[in-house]
Amino acid sequence: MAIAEISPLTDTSLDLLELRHRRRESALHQLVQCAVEHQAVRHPALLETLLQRRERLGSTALGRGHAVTGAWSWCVRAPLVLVGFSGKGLDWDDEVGVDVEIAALVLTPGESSEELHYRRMEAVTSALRLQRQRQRLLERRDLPTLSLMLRELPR
Amino acid sequence: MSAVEGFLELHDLDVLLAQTHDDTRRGRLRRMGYTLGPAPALVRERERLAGKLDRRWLNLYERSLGRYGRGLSAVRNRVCLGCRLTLPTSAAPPPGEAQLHVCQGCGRLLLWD
Repeated sequence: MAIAEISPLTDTSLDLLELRHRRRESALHQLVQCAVEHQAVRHPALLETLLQRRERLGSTALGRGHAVTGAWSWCVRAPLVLVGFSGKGLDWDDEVGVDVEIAALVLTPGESSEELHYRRMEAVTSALRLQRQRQRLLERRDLPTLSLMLRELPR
Repeated sequence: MSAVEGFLELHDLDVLLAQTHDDTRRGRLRRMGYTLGPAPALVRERERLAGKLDRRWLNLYERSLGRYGRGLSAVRNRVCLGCRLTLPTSAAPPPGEAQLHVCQGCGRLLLWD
């Protein structure tokens, strides 16, 4: 009888990072730079411009200390979800004025459908909507917890 | 900024504008918890950017945008990801150079990977 060992593969489409800055623009820059390190971005400067324009249309802060932004663009080479934590809190232009502690960036390549991007955004926003889930993520700050939270995320 | 980057930026602006103008997309974003404000500044930015781009390429881009909802397409392994046409080897730009090309199948501007 042949016995095969199956090793778990690391999910490279998710990552966590510590956000160092207070300003939203700086946090977006850091998130995009992290996406560049993952080789998920073609034109980082353009992607950053796009994310800043999106913020000008209306803040992506969703209340109670979290924000989810995203891009469906040809500037994106591979699907990626980044979740950043800020110990100091980020000034994300939240309607209520609460600082953001968790900021997620959802990147979907232009070759995917817009529908897929919306479904990915919906998966991330609904995973982070519950206070209990965010608290668990803030406490553990590890990839297995994030993977479990985003198990419904379409790839 | 190169012509390719100009059209990439224009395409991103068009996607954002579609989100603000289309009721279905707006409704979907609202259900996720987002509120989108009016976008006159984005429209002005689009006009300004379009004014800087070559009129000939812009016409081709806008024609494809009107027909397919997207004016740009990426190329991977010589295949246009918009219409899946395999492009001739001679259509590829020299390595390291970003040049504008039009897909002979669908007419979208091509973004070579």
